[in-house]
Amino acid sequence: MSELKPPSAGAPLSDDAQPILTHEKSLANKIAKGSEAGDILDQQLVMLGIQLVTQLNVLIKTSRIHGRTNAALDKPVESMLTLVRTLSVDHPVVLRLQNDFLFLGDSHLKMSAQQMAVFSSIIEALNRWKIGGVSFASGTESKDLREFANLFVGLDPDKHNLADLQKALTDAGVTSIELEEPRVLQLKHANDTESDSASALPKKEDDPAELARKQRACAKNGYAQAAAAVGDLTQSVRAGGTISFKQAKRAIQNVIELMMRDEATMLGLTTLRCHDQYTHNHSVNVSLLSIALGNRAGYPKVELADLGLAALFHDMGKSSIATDVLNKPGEFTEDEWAAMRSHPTQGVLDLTKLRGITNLPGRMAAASFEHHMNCDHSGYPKLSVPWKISLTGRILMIADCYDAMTSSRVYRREPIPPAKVLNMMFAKSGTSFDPILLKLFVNCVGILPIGTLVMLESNRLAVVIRPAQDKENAERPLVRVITDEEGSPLDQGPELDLTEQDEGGMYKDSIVRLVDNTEYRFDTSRYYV
Amino acid sequence: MDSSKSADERSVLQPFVREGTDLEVVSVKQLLKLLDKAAKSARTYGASNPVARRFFLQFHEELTKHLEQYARLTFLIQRNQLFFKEEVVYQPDSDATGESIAFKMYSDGIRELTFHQGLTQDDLSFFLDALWGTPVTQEEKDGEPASIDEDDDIVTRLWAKSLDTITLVTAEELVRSSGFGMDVLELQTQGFMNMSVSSLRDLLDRERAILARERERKGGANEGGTSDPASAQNAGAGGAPNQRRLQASLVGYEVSQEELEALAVEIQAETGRDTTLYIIDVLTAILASERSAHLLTKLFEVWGSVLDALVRNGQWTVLESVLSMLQDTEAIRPDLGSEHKQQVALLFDGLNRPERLKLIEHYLNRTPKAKTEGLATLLLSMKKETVPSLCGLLANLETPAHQAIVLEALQTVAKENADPIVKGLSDKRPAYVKNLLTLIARWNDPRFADSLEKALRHPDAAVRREVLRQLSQLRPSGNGAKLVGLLADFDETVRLTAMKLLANGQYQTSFSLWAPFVTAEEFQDRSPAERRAVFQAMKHTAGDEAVPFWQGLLTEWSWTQRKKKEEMALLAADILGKLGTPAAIAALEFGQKKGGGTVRQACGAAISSANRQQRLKTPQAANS
Repeated sequence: MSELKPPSAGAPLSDDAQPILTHEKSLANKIAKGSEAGDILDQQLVMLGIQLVTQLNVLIKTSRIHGRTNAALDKPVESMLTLVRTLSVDHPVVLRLQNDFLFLGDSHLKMSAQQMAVFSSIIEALNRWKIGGVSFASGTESKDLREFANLFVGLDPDKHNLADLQKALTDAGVTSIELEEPRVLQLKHANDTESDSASALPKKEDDPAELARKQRACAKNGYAQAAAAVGDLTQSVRAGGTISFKQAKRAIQNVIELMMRDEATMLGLTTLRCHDQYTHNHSVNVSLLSIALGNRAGYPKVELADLGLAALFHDMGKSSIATDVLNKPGEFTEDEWAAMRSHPTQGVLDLTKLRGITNLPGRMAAASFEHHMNCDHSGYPKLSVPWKISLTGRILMIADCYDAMTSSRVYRREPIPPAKVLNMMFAKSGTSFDPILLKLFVNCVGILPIGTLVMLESNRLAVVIRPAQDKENAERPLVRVITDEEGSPLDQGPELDLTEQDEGGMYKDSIVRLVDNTEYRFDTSRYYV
Repeated sequence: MDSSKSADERSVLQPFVREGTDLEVVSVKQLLKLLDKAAKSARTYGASNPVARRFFLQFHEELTKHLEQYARLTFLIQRNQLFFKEEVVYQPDSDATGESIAFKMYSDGIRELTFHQGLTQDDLSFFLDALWGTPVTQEEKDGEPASIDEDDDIVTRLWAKSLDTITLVTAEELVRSSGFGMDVLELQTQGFMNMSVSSLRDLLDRERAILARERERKGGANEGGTSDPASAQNAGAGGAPNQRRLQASLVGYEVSQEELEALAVEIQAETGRDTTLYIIDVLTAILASERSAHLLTKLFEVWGSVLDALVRNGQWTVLESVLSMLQDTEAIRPDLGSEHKQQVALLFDGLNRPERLKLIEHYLNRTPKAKTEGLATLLLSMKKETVPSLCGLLANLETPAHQAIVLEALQTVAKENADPIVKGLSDKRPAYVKNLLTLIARWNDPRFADSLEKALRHPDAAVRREVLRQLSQLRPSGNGAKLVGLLADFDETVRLTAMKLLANGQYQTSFSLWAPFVTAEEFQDRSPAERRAVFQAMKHTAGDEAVPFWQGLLTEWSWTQRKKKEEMALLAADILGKLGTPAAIAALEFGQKKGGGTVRQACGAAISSANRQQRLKTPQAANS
């Protein structure tokens, strides 16, 4: 997912640049609605990235012929400014060149055969200067772009290096454009022994701390990629456009690879439950939990991806609900509740309409339609015909309920601690929830689930970061200590395996109490994200 | 790399390789040439073509040999190049990016591709299919085209296949694994869960106080742990150190082997489930249950798109059952409002839309061996207004079996709207017009005879013959002027058919209509069989009116074309004998006197024949 976000409604875009920004109008409209700014499609960002490459190429080529003040530069400069302002509201927009691939931020810019010439031209120009990336800040002005282009083509890269170019820019008063050194990527060498497709992932022989950092970085990226895919599709459904699951499919396949390697790290990310991004985070969380549960239920890898994809879009029906209802902080009216209860049906109808009945995965339809139904049909939608709830639906019910109840969200601000949620869910085993799947779910998240805040016998606070591996010692998970005995927070507290014993056969530490972190409004996700 | 084998190979290739050249690189370059050749031929002729297949097998064989020797083969991918050992080993001649193997992978963000030992033909074939975006060959069954999942690219297809022998690394994976990138997941610091870590001390103090109070209250008499999460929440309060501890276990959450097996069966059933039917079941359940008017409106819109999709994919039997279910909508939902009833009616009306028939056409032409069960029902349910579109469908379908189904439908649907059929007779496509003629023949309605006569001008001779055949059924008597006109037809078989029809004795035609044809110089150049047929037809339609013409032939004399004139005279004598009327006998007698030797002889024979005929007829007449 890119760090780039569109501008706020208060940053009007230049009308002059309309012709090059074919989607700009719709983008501006969406932004004007305010609350949906975060939903802007990666797809659109990538499209804008391609426009950025194109306009940068025009600017450089024109600058080879004309001086910086020449009117011939007006149009490319104006277009570039529009793009930069659109893309760099929260962070500077960075066009990166890595191993011959162009990225907008960290999103790969996929090119078509028709765009090859333009891309090649930029790649070669950047390569000549050995530039790894160019970042444009939101304050970039016309004179900055003109100066940059002028120096870029005016200085000889054979006689000057990247630092010289950056210095020349600074001397010319251009501070909004920065050049990056090429990043050294960890390439897979020919003598590597890893053979699977995830071979670019951290290798086991790495330093453990570094390995953990990289694994977490990979997991977070995987999570973000999936969240971006949900954002894209939600926005697409709202806009009534067509939907493609290509991006989401890749994201889920990546998540499965990561989950197979380190389930705990991935599930740790499900503690991320911020309410303003609720729907996206919730969808990704439900997908991760469903994959973990599906994996334990015995789904083969490909089917697991299908299940994960289905789970990712189980709340697609909410795209049809007005955002002011979705984000309403107070109590719902009867009509608003009716609208909320309609989202499973809305979801199936939207997905079927947008994808066509023959292109819609069955599990996706089931996930949307059945995830609030409850095994005893006490949920919604209420059906007047007999209906056998599918396995996908039953998995989704558990994952959805667990994440929803443990989350803070706009219309029910108070989350419930994970262990309490499991307890509540078990009270409904066999009625609302499938009893076998629920048992598997507990095996998966642990009886003290990831994210649970605990007090240790040593008078320290800790959070559960991995469920206990040994079922007989289910109350002894792996925890991260977050305070000392005095309650002083620890920045990089140690990880404790509570099954560890001393020489005398005594446990080194134990949990004495589960702490309701929600009561204190303490978000434990900071220890996973 | 196996150095001993490499040394062996070096000796074999030595004469062809420059000193210092890496033999592995040489081998890789040769392999890529083979791959390029295999790919080109597969694109040009199709993967199943014998030539393409041969190149593919050759590539696989060479690649296998290479992998046996070097264990694996890894390429780095750039825009339009493949690198091996930091050397360019593949680069298309031009910037033909669309056909470049390197660009195909590059554009999907693939940085690295590795083939491993043990690569089977199936694996390789799957990879090449994924590379070119073609469906998997073995999926093509019963002539049904295999569908390509539009959400897939090379990366997702290979992931799903989970091949050990072909692996990829994407550029994005490299970026991620290198630990670059913004921290995309930002912690929420505002909102409900806003307590900062600096307040943990207070939190701990409060928890300790609660714990102490609980301990005090229970007097250290806590019974200890429990196996369920609810009790776990309260466990650990007070008591001796181990009694203070939280005690919980997963006992009771064990999943038995039988339970896992039952899940496996369910997973398998879910995977094998017909997705389309399942979604239709979902939509049907919504139809039966939904109360919201807004959702019902949306549902009926979706049903429209469902019908489209079923038509597009040739799922006629499913379509048939959906239509039958929709027909019962009012019975299922008697509470439906008029707006929704109108929507249902529109669904059925929509079936008649030309776009739908275009979808049918597209599917059937794309799938020559398509299963057509249920299609007839759909077509038969169409309204008479659809006849022009159905005619269009009939005209554009390529497979006779498919045409037959449409024909069947038109036989019923077009009965009350036959104008488009009649108009279609002037279409230039012979197969289409012949189909329409078949339809008219089935109706066997004489009202179409006039229209049929117009089709006698069709450019295709077979069509004209067929028209004549049908005219013999629909209009076997009357004025034969139009048929006589066919003597000008370019095709002899048509002329003969027309003459045969006129010779049935049911048509009348004045000799004046025959005269322009039979008196023309070119008439003599026509085959004896045709001239005989024409005279026969003249005998039956014009009778004695033609006798003077034939008599003239008996005595005609010319310095030129004497042979042909004589042939004509002999044919005339023969036909006069067959006509056998007094006028004909008189003409023959005249010929017997004035004609040449051969003609005289022929006239005599004809008179004898006529007399014989007469004698045969007389007793019969007396007896009767």
